[in-house]
Amino acid sequence: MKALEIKNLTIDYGKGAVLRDFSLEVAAGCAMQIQGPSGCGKSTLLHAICGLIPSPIQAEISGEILLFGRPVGQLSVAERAQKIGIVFQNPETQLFCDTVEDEIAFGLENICMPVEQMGARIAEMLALVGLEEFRHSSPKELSGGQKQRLVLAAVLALDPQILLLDEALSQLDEGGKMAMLRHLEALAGQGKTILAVDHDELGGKLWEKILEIS
Amino acid sequence: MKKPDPRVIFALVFATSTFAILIRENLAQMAGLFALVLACAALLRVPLKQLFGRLKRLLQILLFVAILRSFFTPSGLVLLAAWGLPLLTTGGLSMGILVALRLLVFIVGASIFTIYPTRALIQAMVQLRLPYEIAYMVSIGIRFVPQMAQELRDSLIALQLRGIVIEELKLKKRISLYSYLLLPTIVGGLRHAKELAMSMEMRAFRAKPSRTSFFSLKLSSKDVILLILIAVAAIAGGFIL
Ligand SMILES: Nc1ncnc2c1ncn2[C@@H]1O[C@H](COP(=O)(O)OP(=O)(O)O)[C@@H](O)[C@H]1O
Ligand SMILES: [Mg+2]
Repeated sequence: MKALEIKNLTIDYGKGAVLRDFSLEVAAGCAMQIQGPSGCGKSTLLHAICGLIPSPIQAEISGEILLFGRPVGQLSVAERAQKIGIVFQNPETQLFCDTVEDEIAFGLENICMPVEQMGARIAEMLALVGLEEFRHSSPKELSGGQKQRLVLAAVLALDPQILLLDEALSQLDEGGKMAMLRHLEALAGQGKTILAVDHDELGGKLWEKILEIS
Repeated sequence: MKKPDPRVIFALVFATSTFAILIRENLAQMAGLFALVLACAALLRVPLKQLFGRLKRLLQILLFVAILRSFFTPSGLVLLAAWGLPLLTTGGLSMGILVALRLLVFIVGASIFTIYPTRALIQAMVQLRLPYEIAYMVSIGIRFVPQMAQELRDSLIALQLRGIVIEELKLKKRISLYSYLLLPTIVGGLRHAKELAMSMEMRAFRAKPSRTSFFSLKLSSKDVILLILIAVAAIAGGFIL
C-alpha cells in the first residue's frame, strides 16, 4: 500500500496557484527529499499533507490527498497524529513548555501513554538528539540547533508512520545533522516514510528520491 | 522554603478576591485585606518591588481616580473647597482609596502565581477538574502578553537606534507611531499563536477527552493545614462583615 498519494493537488492562497495539478505517490519505507527555490511551495505541500489546508491555514485547495488510502480530511486528530509527525520550519513556534522534558512529554500525555513508561521514552528521545544534560532546562535557553533537535525529539517520540521535516535540520552542525540523517535512514529501513525539505543534497543510499518543485 | 501547592494559592486568591468584592464601605477592612495579601506575597518572595515599579503608571492613575471619586461622592468632612464647592472630603477620599485598594488586592493576589512555572499552574487547574484544553489555552494566552510587550519594546528600541527620540515627538505623532508598531506586533502574535496551535494539534493535543500527566501535584500535610487555615479565616471573615 502507498503511504501517501497526492492526486491533482492545486493550492491557491488567492494570488495565483502555488501548487498546480501536483501529483505524487510515496511508498511506505521511502525517504524522499524535497528541493526547490524559496517560496515555491514546499512548506505549503507539507501543510496540505497534514490536512492543515483549508483550515486552519486558509487557501483554496482541490485534488486528493490520501494517507494509507484514506483522505486526510476524514482523519480524526488522534488518527492523524498517529499517522503523521511534522517538524515545522520555525522551531520557536513549536516549543511552549517550561522544560525540555515537558516538551517531549506533551505529545505522550496527549496519547495517554501510562506515566510509568513515559520517563524511559523521554530519556530515549533525549539521548537520540543529545540533549540529556538539558532535561530540566527551559527550551528558551537552547540554541537554534538545539531547539530544532528538541522539536524533532518531541515529534519522533510519538512514533509517526509518516515523518515530514520542513528544513528541520537547517541549524544543526555538520556532525549532528549527519547523525540525525543516519537515524532517519534507520527509521525508513523500519518502514517509516520520510519527506524532508532540505537545501543540501542529502547523501546516503536511502535519499535517492529527490523531488524538485519549481 | 518549599512553595505551597499552587492550589493553595488558588484558594487564597479566590478568598481574598471574593472579600475584596464583598467589602463595600469599610476602608479599615479593605486596608487589612490588602495588608494580608501583601504579607502573603512578601512571604512567598514575589518580587514586589519589581511589580510596583511596573505598576507605577497604574498607581498614578489609581490615585487620580481616587481623588476624582472623592470629588463626585462628597461626604464627611470637607478637606478642600473652592468657591463653596467641596473638592476633597474625608468620605469621598476614603471611598476612592477603597476602590484603589480593591484593585490592588486583585493585582497583588494574581502576582503570586508568577512564582510558579506554567506547568504547575496548568496541572493545578487540571487537578481542580478544569478541562485541560482550557487550562492550556489560558496559560498560553497569558504568556503571550509579556511576549508581545517584549516585541513592542524591541521595535521601539529599534526605532531609537535609528535616532528617533520618542519622548520628543508630539503627542499626536507619538500615538500614531505606537499604533503603527502595535499592528505588526498583534499580527505577528496571532500568526505565532496559530502556528503554535497547529504544532500542538499535530502532536495529538485534544486527540482524546483526557490525557495522562507526567507531572503531578500532591498536597503535603503543610498544604492541607494552609487550606484549612484559609477556610477558617474566610469563615471568620464572613462573620465579621
Ligand atoms: N498562509 C499563507 N497565506 C498567503 N500566502 C502564503 C501563505 N503561506 C505561504 N504563502 C505563499 O505561498 C508561496 C509558497 O510558500 P511556501 O510554501 O512557504 O514556500 P517554501 O516553503 O517553498 O519557501 C509563497 O509565495 C508564500 O508567500
Ligand atoms: Mg518553507
